[in-house]
Amino acid sequence: MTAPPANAEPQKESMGIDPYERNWIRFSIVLLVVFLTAVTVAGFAMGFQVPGEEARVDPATITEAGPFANPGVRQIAPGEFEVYVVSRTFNFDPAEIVVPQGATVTIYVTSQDVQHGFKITDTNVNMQVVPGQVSKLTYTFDRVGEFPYICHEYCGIGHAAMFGRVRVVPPSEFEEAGA
Amino acid sequence: MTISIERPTRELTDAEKRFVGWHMLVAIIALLVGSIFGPMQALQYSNVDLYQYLEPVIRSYYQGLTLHGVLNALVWTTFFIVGFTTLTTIKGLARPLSYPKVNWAGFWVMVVGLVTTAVPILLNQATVLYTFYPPLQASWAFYLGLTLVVVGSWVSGVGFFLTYRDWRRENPATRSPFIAFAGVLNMAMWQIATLGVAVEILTMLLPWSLGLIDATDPELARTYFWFTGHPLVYFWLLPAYISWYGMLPKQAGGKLFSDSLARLAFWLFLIVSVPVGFHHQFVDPGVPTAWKWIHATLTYSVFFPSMLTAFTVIASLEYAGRRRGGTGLVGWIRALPWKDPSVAAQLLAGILFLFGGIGGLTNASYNLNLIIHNTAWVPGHFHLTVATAVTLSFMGITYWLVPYITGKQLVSPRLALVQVWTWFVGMVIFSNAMHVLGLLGAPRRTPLGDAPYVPEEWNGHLLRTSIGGTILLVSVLIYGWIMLRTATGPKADPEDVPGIPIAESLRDPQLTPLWLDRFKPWLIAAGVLIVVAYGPQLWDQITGIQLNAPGWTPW
Amino acid sequence: MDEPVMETPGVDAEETEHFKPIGTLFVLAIFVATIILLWGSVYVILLSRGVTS
Repeated sequence: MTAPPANAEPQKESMGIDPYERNWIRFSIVLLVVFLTAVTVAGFAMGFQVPGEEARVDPATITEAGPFANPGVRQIAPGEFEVYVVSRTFNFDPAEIVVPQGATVTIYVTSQDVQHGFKITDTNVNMQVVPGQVSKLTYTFDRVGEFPYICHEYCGIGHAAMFGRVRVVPPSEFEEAGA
Repeated sequence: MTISIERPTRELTDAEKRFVGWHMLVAIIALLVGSIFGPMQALQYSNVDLYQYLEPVIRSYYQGLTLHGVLNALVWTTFFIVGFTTLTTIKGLARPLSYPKVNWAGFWVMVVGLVTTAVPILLNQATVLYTFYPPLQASWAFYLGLTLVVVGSWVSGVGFFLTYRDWRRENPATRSPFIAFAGVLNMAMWQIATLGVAVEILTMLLPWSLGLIDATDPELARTYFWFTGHPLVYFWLLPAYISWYGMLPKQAGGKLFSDSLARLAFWLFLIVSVPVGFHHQFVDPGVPTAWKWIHATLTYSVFFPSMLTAFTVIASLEYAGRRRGGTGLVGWIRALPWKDPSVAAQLLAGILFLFGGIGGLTNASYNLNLIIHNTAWVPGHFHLTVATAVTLSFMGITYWLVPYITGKQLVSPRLALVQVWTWFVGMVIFSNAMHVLGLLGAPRRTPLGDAPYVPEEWNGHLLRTSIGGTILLVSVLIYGWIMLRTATGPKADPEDVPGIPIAESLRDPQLTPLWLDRFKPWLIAAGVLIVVAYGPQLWDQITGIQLNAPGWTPW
Repeated sequence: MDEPVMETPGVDAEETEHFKPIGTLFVLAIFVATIILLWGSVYVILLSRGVTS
């Protein structure tokens, strides 16, 4: 039989990490590094980016002057649009955004009162809407259809009714509508 | 060289048991009351509106949701944790609290805070949910009460620190007993973490609700809030880890697999729990993407000690299972004492925590947050973590703790097993449905039964949410009944009263390196990391403060 | 012949030497496979829903 060698001499202080656990530690680090690399590449090289710092506004005056005084869609170049959205209890202005298929749309959202949320279903557009701040994301609508944008931050008693929709229409239909 | 240390043991005195018992009483009442509202939320998803029967006391879904969040996530957890870690401090150090009056003062401050918070919530003057984001404006009493709850927990924490300091003076060469060390560390982490919300309330929300200032800076408030908001989840979780590392192995018939890695995991939680808050603000305006990415990286690092925990706890259980005659790759799992409701609760809590961890890693993953931020996924996630890993473990702990402090026997361990399993099953159904709803884009904190935009394809998942919630209601009612009957039952023969389970370590803890048993370097490291990872952005937001968002009460 | 074994308090050296946590690794292997599958599927959803800048 093999005598346990550890008992032969007085033991020293050590971490005493089991070899299996040591390998698990190494593996865990590798796994986390791989995942982090995957999201970093997606974020900074492939363009799946989160909102950042944009601009600040005064919630009291947004409806009087500046781009949020006239909420809605504007075409800024062929295939490129911008839309300013004002959120307030309990609706979005505009409540409908119509763009042609393939449109690249830059969405600016702010709030006139409390915090709201702006998430367009089936897309990666998701923003916290905070009074005093402008949230901004750019997204290209490649699929024809209706995509609701839903308020995802509790904003009061009518929160559940607060939504709007993006209608992505075929380019021909968009032209006919005379946009 | 090994210094062999005689480790004394000491049971809690009757007065100490009463002190812990008061915390448990408040905690369990909060859990029972708060948990009534959860299933009402879940049933609303299927258009079953039970709120109408609570009028005029409870006037809306959101008021109920506020109660559910505050009572379950803040009150149940905080009171349980302070009570439980008082027990682990006294029992672990085998000495009384140095200044029991300090700890009693902490308790009463928390109780006063709880009442002060509860009144405006019940009067529908604080229907702001447990995140209380401005410019939703609650009554000043709500903010004052929350402040008192936090301050009370600080006072209790100071009581722990003084006791620990005295023990250290008396025992300079001894490795601190794990359960006491870990509880004290959790309180230290909590005191650092709650600075964020303390500053938020004292410099902004409280003066604003009192009319001293007209408006707030909501984005700065969010940054303060999440400084506290994420470590808050570790404040909940670490006491469950104390049990998983330091008690469950004993209950299962084994030993702690690695004392040094258990301590390392706790130190890592101390230093990386706090500087990760921006991962709750990934889709916020007003915070640069670079800081969001840095906090994503740090959140990944805080995942690491949980990976360590997974190995150490499972290995401790495997050791127990094999000692009980379990063989093969999985036979040891079956050999564990599943018939013991306290053990079963913690094992099932641990299983669901594995999934909670996966969801948490997803939340932390920077742009993946675009898919799930503020969707039903998020409550789906934290019902696996705080409502199962933490709450089901705490329930399991009370199955020995309440008999221990009352000198009674647990009423019907078989029914307790039913309770534990119904919680598990209900939560699997509820949480899975919520995760799927989130991926489909359903918002959180929303009475979806009333929402005009709900598409057909969500309906099946909404129904599953309701079914899961109903099963959980049954489970919590059983739990309340068992606790009531146990606490009011006759005194038991002392031999039938369970003791405090304390797991030995496979290796003498004296062999654990000294640097894993000294607070100072780790506290300094925690401070430095916070300054580096939070300092610049926090400075920018504070110096750029714009108080331009007046208050609203749109409920 | 059995050698005399010195007792070291609190250290059950034989147990430490002989216990290999194979079952733990098995459970963790399943866990890791689940992480990769579930996390990976959310990652695929991200890629399928289009870039945001």
